[in-house]
Amino acid sequence: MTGIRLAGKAAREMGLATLLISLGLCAFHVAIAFVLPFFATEMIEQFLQVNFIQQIISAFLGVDPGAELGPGLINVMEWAHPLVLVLISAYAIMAGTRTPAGEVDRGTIDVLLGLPIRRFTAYSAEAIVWSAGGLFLVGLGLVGHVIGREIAEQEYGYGATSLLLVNANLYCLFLAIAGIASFFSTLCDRRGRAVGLSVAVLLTSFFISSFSSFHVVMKQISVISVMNYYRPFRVLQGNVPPLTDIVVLFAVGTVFWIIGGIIFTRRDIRTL
Amino acid sequence: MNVVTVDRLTMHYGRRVGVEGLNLTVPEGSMFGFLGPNGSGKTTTIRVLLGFLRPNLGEARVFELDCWSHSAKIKAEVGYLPGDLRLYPWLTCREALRLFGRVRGRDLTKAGAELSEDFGLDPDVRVRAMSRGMRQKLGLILALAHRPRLLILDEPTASLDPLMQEKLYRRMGEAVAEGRTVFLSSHTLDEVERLCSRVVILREGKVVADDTLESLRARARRMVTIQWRDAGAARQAPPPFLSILQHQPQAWRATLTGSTVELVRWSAGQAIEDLSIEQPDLTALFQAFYS
Repeated sequence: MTGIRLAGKAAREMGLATLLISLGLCAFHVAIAFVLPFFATEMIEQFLQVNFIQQIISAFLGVDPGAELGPGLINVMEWAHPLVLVLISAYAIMAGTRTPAGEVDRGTIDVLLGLPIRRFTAYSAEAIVWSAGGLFLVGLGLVGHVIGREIAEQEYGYGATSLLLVNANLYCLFLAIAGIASFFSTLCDRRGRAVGLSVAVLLTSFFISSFSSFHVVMKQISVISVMNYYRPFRVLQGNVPPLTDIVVLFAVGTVFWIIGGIIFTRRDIRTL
Repeated sequence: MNVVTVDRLTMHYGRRVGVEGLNLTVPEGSMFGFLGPNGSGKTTTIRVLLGFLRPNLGEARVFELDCWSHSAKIKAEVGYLPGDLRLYPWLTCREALRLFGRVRGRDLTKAGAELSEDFGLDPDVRVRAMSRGMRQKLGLILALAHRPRLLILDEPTASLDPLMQEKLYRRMGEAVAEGRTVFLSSHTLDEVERLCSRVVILREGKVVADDTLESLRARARRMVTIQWRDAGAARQAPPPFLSILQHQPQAWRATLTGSTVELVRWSAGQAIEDLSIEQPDLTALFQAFYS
C-alpha cells in the first residue's frame, strides 16, 4: 500500500517524459505507417538487389540473410527501426536508473529513505511506475500505427494478433532493459555510471545480435544478447509467435530487477 | 528508558574510519547534543541510526529496535533533517505534506500549515524557487509535522536567520517538554550549550567527552585576572593552582587549575587591588577536545 502511495511521486516525476517520448513514438509510427506504402514496394525491390543493403536490413531485423526478404519487409522496419529501439531503450534506462542511483546522485535519497518505508518498497514503487510507463509507450506506438494505417487507407497490414504479439515482444524487451538498468542502478551512486553501464550492455547486445547473422562466434554467443530475443520479422512475416522470446526477455528483466532489489536492501547508502 | 543505544559501533569506509567503538545512550525526553568538527563521525552515526549504513561492528538501537533490520518501523516515529538537505525541485510545502502524510499514513496538513505559518514559509512555492533558508524551513516542517518521538536534526540551524533559529529552539524545547527526544548534531557550541542537557563530543570517530554540561563546565578552567597594588607583589612566585599566561608588571592573567575556594583563601593574604574570576571557558574546553 505504501508502495502505491509512493508511486505517485515517481509518476509525478516521470509523467511528462513518458508522455513526450510516447507521443514521439506514436508520431513516428503514424508517419511511417502513412508514408511507407506509397513507395515501399518499388524501393524495397530495388534495395534488395544490393547484397550489402540486404545484409544491413537482415542485421536490423535479426533474420538470416538467406530468409526470404520480400516487399512486406519494409513494414516490419516500423518495429525494428533504430529510432523505435532508441526511444524504447532510452526510456527504459532513464526510468530504471532513477532509484537508487538517481536519488543518491541528486541527494534526495536521505529524504526518501527518511520516510518509514522499506527500501524494497521504494524500489518497487519505481518499478510499478516504469512498467506502466513502458506499457503506455508501447501502446501509444501501436495506436500510432493504427492511426497511420487508417489515414493511408492501406490495403496491406498485419492481423491484430500479430501486432499485439510483436508489441508484447517489444514491451518485454523494454522490461529486460529496464530490469538491467535497475540492477546497475543499485550498484552505483552516480546515475551517469549506471546509465553508462546499461548503454554498454545494450550496445554490446545490439552488436552481437546484428553480427550473429554473419559471424559464427557471434551466432554462438548471441544467446546472451537481449536483442536476440526481439525478432519482429519472424512474428510479422513468418507468423511465428514469439512466446519463447517473450518469456526469456521477461525472465531476464525480472531476475535482474530482483537481484538489484536484493542488493539495494543490503547496501550502504552513503553521502556523496 | 533510552531512546537511542549505541554499543561499540564501528563503521569504516574502506581504510577511512567513520566511527570507532562508539558507545552512547540517549534517554527519552532529553535534548542531546552531538558535537564534533567536520568529519568526526556525527553524520555517520546518524546514518547508522536511520538504517542507511550497516555497521561493521557493534550495534545501534532506537526504541530498543535494531536500526538496520527494523529501520522502517523506527522511522515511523522519527523526524529527520539531513545535514545536506536536498528536496525534489517540483515539491511545494503543501504537496510535500500531502505526500509525506500519505506515506506516513497520517494527515499532516493541519500541523504542517501551522508550522509553515510559524516559520513564515509560503506553502505554494516550489522548492526550485526557494532560497536555501526556505528549503531548510521546509525540511524542518517535514521533520516536525508528525510529532515524532525522536527528532534527529543534523546541523538544523545552518542557513536559518537568528529569528528562525529562536523559533526552532522554542519548538525543540516544546518537544522535550512533551517528553519527546531531540538528538541535535552540531558543530556550533553556542546552540548546544544553550539547549542541551547532555553532550557527546566526537573527534576522529571516537568519543572524547560524554557528560552533562554542568560537569563539563566544572571541568572547564576559569580565567583569573589579578591586579596587584605594587609591582613587588607581582614579582612573587604564583601559587600551584594558578597557571600564569601573562605576567605584566602589576597584573597576572592566569588559568585556575585548582578550586575557587583555594584561590579566595590565598588572595585574602595578598596585596591585591582587584581580582576577577571569569565564567568557565567552555569554548576553550571544546577546542581542546576538538584539537
